[in-house]
Amino acid sequence: MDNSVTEKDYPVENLWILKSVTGSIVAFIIAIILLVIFGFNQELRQIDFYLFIIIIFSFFHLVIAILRKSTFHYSIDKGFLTLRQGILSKQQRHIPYGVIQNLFVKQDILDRIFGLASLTIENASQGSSYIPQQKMSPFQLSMTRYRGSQIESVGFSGNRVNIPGLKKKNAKVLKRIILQRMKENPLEDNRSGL
Amino acid sequence: MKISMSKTREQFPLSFKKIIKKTITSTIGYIILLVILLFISAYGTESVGQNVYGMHGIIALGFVIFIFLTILISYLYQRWYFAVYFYDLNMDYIQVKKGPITPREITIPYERIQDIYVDQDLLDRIFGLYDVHLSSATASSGMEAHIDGLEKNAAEGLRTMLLQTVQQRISKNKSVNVTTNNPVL
Repeated sequence: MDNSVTEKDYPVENLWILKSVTGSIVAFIIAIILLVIFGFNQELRQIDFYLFIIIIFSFFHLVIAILRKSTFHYSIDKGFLTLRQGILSKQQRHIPYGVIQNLFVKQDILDRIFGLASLTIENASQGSSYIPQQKMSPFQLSMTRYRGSQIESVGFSGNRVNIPGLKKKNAKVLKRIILQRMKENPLEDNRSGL
Repeated sequence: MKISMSKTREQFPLSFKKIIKKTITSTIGYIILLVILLFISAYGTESVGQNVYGMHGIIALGFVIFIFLTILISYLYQRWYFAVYFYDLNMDYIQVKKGPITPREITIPYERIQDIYVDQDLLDRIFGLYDVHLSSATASSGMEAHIDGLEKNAAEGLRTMLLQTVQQRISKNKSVNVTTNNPVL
């Protein structure tokens, strides 16, 4: 266990929390501003109600993002990639390096602004929670629509493990470490489709 | 335009026609929509009456400028996209990286490749371009890991090289496995 790499070495940055709740923060600020403008006017009680809902919701979003980050742990051990997540219901997952299919390093627009990158690891299993493929509607022009709608949260679901909010440099190092492990631990009966 | 070169891209270069093709595919929808709107507005101004004669020309000019701008912006973006398009066949894995603003990079080891196929869509036929697709067992890899806009020679060369490398890899692993699993043989 000496040479295992964990989230202490390459942490999910605190900036990720900020990034993941950016939408909520914007809504929060707008709500506050509106509340200041309209708030003390007795005639607009219903607007107040909605604004309070927005404020409470964005606050919860922040709390959940913090909890989610603090409860996500990964460690790149000798034989397995071990992951733990879950705020109330805990999940653990162990992925042998041999079955990892491909790695992604992605940056969306907010990642670019904050200087972050997310590393996604995919294997061929459907995981414990099967997520059905999103149906392609005939009106969709290209795959890009689908790509944009992929969920970008911390942790694992389905066949993917997502480690977001890494510094770009760290994401690259982590990718290299995992690739190295994959090379060292090939599957016994290695079969490609070809 | 500084092109992000790799050894593989030098060997099997992307065609510059790809920029034009992508510009067309990305703007054709808007252009059709704008032309339809132009006709509708022409019909609208005509039916209103004689006092808006000048209007029609101004609207038409506006539309033409707008279409031109759309094409120009799209062209510049596609040029940028083309410049940062990166693909490389390493010793152990294939790396494809694209997207100038939001970069996405996929890494697939040769052993995990499930299929390789080459295809052309209608515009590819017209321009003489080929797309080389490769995927591992996951759905998203099929979407990300394609190298499109290659000329015929480059596409065939790339495909041959990929197939060769994959085959070598698999047979190498097999022979290793035979010796480790069955020491008697």
